[in-house]
Formats: sequence, C-alpha cells, structure tokens
Amino acid sequence: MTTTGPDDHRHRDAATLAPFFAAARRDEPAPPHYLISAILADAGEVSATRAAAATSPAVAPRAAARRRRGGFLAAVGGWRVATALAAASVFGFWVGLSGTIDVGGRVGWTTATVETVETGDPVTEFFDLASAE
Amino acid sequence: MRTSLDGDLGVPDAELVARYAAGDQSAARALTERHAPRVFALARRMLRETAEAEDVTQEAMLRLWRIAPAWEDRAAVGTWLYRVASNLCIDRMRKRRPISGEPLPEVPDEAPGVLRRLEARDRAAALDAALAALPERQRAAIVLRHFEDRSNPEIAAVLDLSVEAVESLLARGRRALAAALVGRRAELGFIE
Repeated sequence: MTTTGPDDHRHRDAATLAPFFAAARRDEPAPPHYLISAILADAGEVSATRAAAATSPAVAPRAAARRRRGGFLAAVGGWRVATALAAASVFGFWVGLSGTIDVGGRVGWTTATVETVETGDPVTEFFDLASAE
Repeated sequence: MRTSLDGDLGVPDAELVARYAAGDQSAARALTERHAPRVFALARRMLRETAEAEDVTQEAMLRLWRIAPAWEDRAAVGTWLYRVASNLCIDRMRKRRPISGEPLPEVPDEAPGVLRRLEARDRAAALDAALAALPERQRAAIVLRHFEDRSNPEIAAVLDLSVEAVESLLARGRRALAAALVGRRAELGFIE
C-alpha cells in the first residue's frame, strides 16, 4: 500500500499550479506613464521642500503661521466676513453693557425681570431661568 | 539625451538613495524605473484593482523619497518597498468590502494567435480568482514567491515573519489554490 506524505502533496500542488503561474505572468502590464510622472513629480517636490527648509530655516515657522492664519480666515469665510463678525461682536457687547436698544424710536429693554423661587434644586432652577421671559 | 539607465544601471540602490537625498533627480528616475514596476505588479496582484495599485505604488515611492536622507543602508531598497507596499495593500484589503471573484481587468490583445492567448488569459483569470479567495498574508506570500520571484527569507523580511511561518503560509496557499484549480484543468485546455 502506498501512502502520500507532505512532500508528495507539495509536488502535486506545484505541478498543478505551474502552468497557471506561467500564464498569469505573461498577463502583467507595466505601470502607466502618468504614474511614473506623478512619482517623479513627488520626488522633485520632496527635494524642493527639503532644500527650502535647509536654506532658510527661519522662514518655515513664519510660513506655517501664515498658513494657520489663512486657515482661520478661510474657516470663517474671508476678511469681509471676519470684519463683520468682529463688528457684530462689539455691538452685542455694547448692548449688553448699556441694557437698552433703540429700535425705530422706541426703546426696548434687553434685561428681563425674573422671579425665581428658591427650590434648592439646581435642575429646577435651571429650567426656571431658561423659561423666564 | 541621457537617460538614467545610461549611467545608473549598475549603481547600487543605496547609492542612488544617497544621491537622491543630495538632490540628484536622475537618481530618483533610476530608482523609479528599477522599482516602481515591481511594486505596481505586487499591488495589482494583491488588490486586483489597477487604480488602487497605482495609489499604493505612488505612496510607497513617496515614503522612499521622504526617508531618503535617513536611509543609512537600513535594508535592501526593494525589500523595504515591498514591505511598505504589502502593508499598504493589506490595510486597504481589510478596510474595503469583501473582494469579488471577478478577474482582473484584461489587457487588450490585438496580436495574432488569439486562441492560444485567450486560453492563457482564461488560466490567468482562473488563478487570479482563486488568489482572491486567499487570506491577505497567504496572498502576499504567494504573489511575492511566484510572481516576484522573492526567496523565502526575503518574503519573511517583507512580511515581518519567520522563514518557517512563510513556508507554512506558502504551503497552505498553494494547497488552497491547487484545490480550487485542479477541477478546472480540462475546461482550461490542459490535456489529462
């Protein structure tokens, strides 16, 4: 009686697969030209960045700070929006301090009279305050 | 016109990396010509998608450009790139949906002897579909061994495994592939 060992299995597997691997190897495309161009462009960019950092180390932090400021302005919508936002903030602060606002000749009060009942329960007091007009 | 292959053919990889780190772009071209096709082939075999293989190839080469000044002969460049690319491929394979059994997109063939070519293509597609069913590391080991002709110690270095573990991965991978393909031999034109 013959038995098959691990080596027999290996040889049989190898014999089964050899023509498949041979066929698959023939079907292997080269990387496209645009990929090679992109890789070389990356190489040039990394070199240029490295050279710039080596020649002017003091410029890098300033550039980074500029990028950060630019990022904030871009996030709020640009210079005009940032200026309007600052003006609105100052106006709101003034209203808060003076307590009045003149709307079309009438004066509206911005402070509210609130009567609260001391319950001793912070949750109840919070909702009382939030619903007060 | 001087191409990088004119003068850099026999230059060791480590020297090319050092030259690139010093700003020599022709060294980058030589490294790209030498390694990008192999990395692309590995990624394409593992991911079975050309666009993703392109991304992985570009990313692996970008990491080489970035690490170049600190290279210090840390490893063979080819082995290091295979390692980076394999890890990138395995990460992508784990993140995406289960891979279908569809074969890789075919390369257009307008050559004569079409029947023979079609038969070879069917066999390649059958192998490819069987490869897709293997676990990631088995697939990586099989591709490195049978398509990239890497030795077992090299595959061990790429996959960060022992040589014994690589041998085991390869044996299990081949067994699974053979089991999937042996029943299709007649259909694929093999004479029994």
